[in-house]
Amino acid sequence: MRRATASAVLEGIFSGSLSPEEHVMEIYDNIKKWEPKVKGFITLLDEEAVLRRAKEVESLLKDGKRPPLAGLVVAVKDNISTKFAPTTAGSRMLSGYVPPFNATTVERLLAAGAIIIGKTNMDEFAMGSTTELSAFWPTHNPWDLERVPGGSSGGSAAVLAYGGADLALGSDTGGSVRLPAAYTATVGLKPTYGLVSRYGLIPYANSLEQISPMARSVKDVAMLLDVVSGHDPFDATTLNAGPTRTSSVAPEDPSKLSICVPHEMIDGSDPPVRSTILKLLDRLEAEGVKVSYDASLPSAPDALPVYYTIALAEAASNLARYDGKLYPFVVLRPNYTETVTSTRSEGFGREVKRRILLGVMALSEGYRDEFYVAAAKGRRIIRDEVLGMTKKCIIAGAVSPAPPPRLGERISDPLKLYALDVYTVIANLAGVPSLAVPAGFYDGLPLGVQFMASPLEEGKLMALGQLVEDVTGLRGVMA
Amino acid sequence: MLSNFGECEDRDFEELIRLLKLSRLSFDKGELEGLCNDIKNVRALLLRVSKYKDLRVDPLYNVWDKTLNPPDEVAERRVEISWLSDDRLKNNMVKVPWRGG
Amino acid sequence: MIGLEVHVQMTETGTKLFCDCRSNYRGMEPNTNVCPVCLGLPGALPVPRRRPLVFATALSMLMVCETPPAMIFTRKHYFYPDLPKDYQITQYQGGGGAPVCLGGRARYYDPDTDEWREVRIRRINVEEDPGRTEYEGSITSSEAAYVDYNRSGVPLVEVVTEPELRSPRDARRFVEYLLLMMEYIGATNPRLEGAFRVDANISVRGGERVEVKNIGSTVDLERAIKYELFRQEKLISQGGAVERETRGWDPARRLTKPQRSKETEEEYLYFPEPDIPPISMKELVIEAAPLTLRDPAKYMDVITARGIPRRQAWSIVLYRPALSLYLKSLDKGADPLLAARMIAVDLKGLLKKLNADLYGASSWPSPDVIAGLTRLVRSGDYSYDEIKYNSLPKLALNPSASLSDVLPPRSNNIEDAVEVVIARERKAVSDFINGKPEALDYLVGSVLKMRRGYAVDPKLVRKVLLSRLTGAQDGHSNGGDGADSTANSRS
Repeated sequence: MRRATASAVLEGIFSGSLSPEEHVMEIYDNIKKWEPKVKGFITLLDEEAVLRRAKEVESLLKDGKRPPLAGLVVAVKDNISTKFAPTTAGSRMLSGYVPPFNATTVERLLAAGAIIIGKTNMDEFAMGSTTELSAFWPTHNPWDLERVPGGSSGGSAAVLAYGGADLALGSDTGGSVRLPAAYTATVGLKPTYGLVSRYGLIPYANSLEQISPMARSVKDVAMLLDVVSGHDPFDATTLNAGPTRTSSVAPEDPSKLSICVPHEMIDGSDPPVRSTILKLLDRLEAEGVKVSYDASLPSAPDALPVYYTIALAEAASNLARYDGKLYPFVVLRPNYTETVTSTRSEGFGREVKRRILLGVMALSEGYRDEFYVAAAKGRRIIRDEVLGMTKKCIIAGAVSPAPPPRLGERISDPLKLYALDVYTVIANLAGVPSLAVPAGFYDGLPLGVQFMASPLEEGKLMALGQLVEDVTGLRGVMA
Repeated sequence: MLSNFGECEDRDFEELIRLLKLSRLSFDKGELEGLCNDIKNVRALLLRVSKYKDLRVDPLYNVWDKTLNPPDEVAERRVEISWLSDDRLKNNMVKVPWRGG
Repeated sequence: MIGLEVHVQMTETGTKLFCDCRSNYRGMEPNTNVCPVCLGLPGALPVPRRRPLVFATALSMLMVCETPPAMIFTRKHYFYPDLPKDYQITQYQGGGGAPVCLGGRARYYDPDTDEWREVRIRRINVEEDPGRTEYEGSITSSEAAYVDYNRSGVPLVEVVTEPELRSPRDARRFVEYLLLMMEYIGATNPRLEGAFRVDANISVRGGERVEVKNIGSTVDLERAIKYELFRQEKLISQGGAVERETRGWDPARRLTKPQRSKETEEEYLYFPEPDIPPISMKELVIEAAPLTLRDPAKYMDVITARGIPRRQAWSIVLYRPALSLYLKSLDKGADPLLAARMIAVDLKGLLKKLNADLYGASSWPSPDVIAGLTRLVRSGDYSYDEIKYNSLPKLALNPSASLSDVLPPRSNNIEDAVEVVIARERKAVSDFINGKPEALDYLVGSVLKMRRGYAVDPKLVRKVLLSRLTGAQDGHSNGGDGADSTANSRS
């Protein structure tokens, strides 16, 4: 298996044995080979501009500067605003839209010396779990081109899997970074809610989502998190916490780690998923980690409806602004109302429209109490249960109930699609950090495992994650 | 009570039309029945939350229950409406079809 | 029954409510006072600024409001070109929000009847203004709407009263006082165009409530309510029914017209704003406390405590520079009653005649001058009228003049003027001699007019005239004594 980590590239760049320009050319080789089949990018930045940037980073290094991500190539999910490239959120509704500002995380990437190579494909407005619902085209899983890479950050995950980038940014509202990570043998972290600024993230569900670091190894994800995290005065929901320092975390003594596996986090998964995870946990136990199966999150079965009720309500609200007045895409009709209706009907895909209708229902008079407010009450119950457990141990569980599905398998029925999120939404509801790492392969298909800790305990997750990589031997693998 | 399976009834269609109006969305006539069924099925999933309706807890809207300390000023970040083509503006005002609304 | 919803822009906060674009956009080219936040671009996030919240809290405290433990914003959804996000961020309790005032009462002064009144306040909330739309021709037929988002995001307070206002004039007085409060707190310059809008809810017995929207001046408010009450009463007396509806005020034709009826199926889909956590009221109350000292009612009390009549005190309080001048003059030892009269009555009248800006500090003289003038009147060096007719007009024309600039020089040369007037005003003289005492007043006035620019004591003028005229009566018969008497009465 091919392997490459961003940390190794960075070492090469700092030592001078690899120049940023050389590295960019290596990346372009991978892109030329894989992109036509995988189609992970929506926009590739102009090659000349990228090479100019590489040269720029090179002169910074020559001046003795050491920006923490110097020369590393980063792919950015297309719902994160960039003023140097169109930002479409995977939707026809935003085709041609070039924001007049950069997301805070993008500014931080640029300040750290990163080289942004392109904007990646995604389910439209982040609503989906397979990247098949992009208005542009579906992305294919490099590990098996007939299968999906997961979603909604499927483009970022696929590009990482074939080596089209060293690092990537995605967004995770209900599993949208962890699911693609599990399907592509990459690593994805949904941070503690409020740790990473959402300024510039085209919103799907504001109270649930975070921009999330993705890479091929835990240490790489940690490096990226350290750069993009921290309080942002432009985002009132960010915590008063500084940027993290998780990449320099020392390896943890395994006997200090304690994992619990609530049966709800593994019940209902396909046998290959279940057995792979249990086998991994056995091996961790052999290393000295405490593993307990005597755990339960009784409210976990309600997590999926609670999540979707809240997410769809917030989504319907966030998408109200698309009415044909302020964005390039518009379907002009003689009067305003018809312009609005036609623009929205042609600009949004079917799944997005369905979710808007359901969100409007959840908020409307007469239904609000039994849907939206009830779900918010359920959310408090779920959050408190999770926090109660993460105080005592790291929660382990499956990421997806099944191995990566084939294209077309899940998108004919919304409920079948939503079911992919059954294990991941709980971390978004509770606001806790969750790390997805490769657990193993089944029939050549990647399978992942997720670990959840208490708020702001990303360091602990990184320590465990590195141990998992030692045990599985899957650090840095590429398709 | 709406059932999980079966055709959409008149009542369900009426509700769907109301939601379509409120959301300023339209579907092709041929798609409406499939849409109605999908909405009905997902709605049944979401309805599982109603068991929490009468629970005596505060709804959780901000996951950390924290409060904000509002700043005086942060930074002026004025922009120009650069992403719209000229035919969408007149005298730099955004132009929108109207005819009474 | 009359109830009001008053939207007041906080024009003086400097920044908009959720971003640092300017709170006063007047005079700017369209769409040049905008940023990702107030344009509602996807990914931009609202971050409430402190100052508008402190001002709103101060207003809430002045209205003796019940405040929530924390302020919570909500989203209010509707589709309109001037609303960038197609939702407005506001504070609605029914939607899970918490407004800055949950209920209170507002005292306000009516200068016509010299009364303090009170109206209950249902709520006050902080919210953002939408953009401004222009149409070609009428709003119903214009092919396109043109939107300027410079105003989008400007902070507003919405003050909602219970339907307890008693008359069109009463409603107007309430709004005028509210605007004065906002000016005193430092939140608003009410004279800026579009700084406030009023929606009036009006009903008569036997009819339903009619809402008249978007009234832009206090004069129009009084007219609109008056018209609407008349229209409703007439309709009922003719056997018709007044139904629930929304109407607009046409200021040109001075009548209310039905507005396009909103589809009854529209819903606002309120829910708490997920991008803004609750904001604790405790710290805001502490910060707002000093602002609540700037209360027109408190200043009225301070002034009337010295014996100044309420209406006069109101005249001072109406213009902040006048109040500032008054209080500072007192600090410098001015006599309270004299200063009040000079400022509130005479100076004000003069400035108005000159079309000066009474709200501009530079239109008013310095406290030293006022204090000096009252001192001189107090000591008897000059009479009030001498100051009134000579110094005050000078000050009105040149507010930066010093005391010595405006004091009229003493003149004892009354006799010449008296002679000239007696010779000229033959009719008045003969009227007086024939027993019309008011003719003497006229003659006194004429002498004062002649001696304008000098300090002339009207009492002395009267004395001299009287002696001359009675002497003249004798003189008429004698012919020679007149001159001697005049010479002798030179003082």
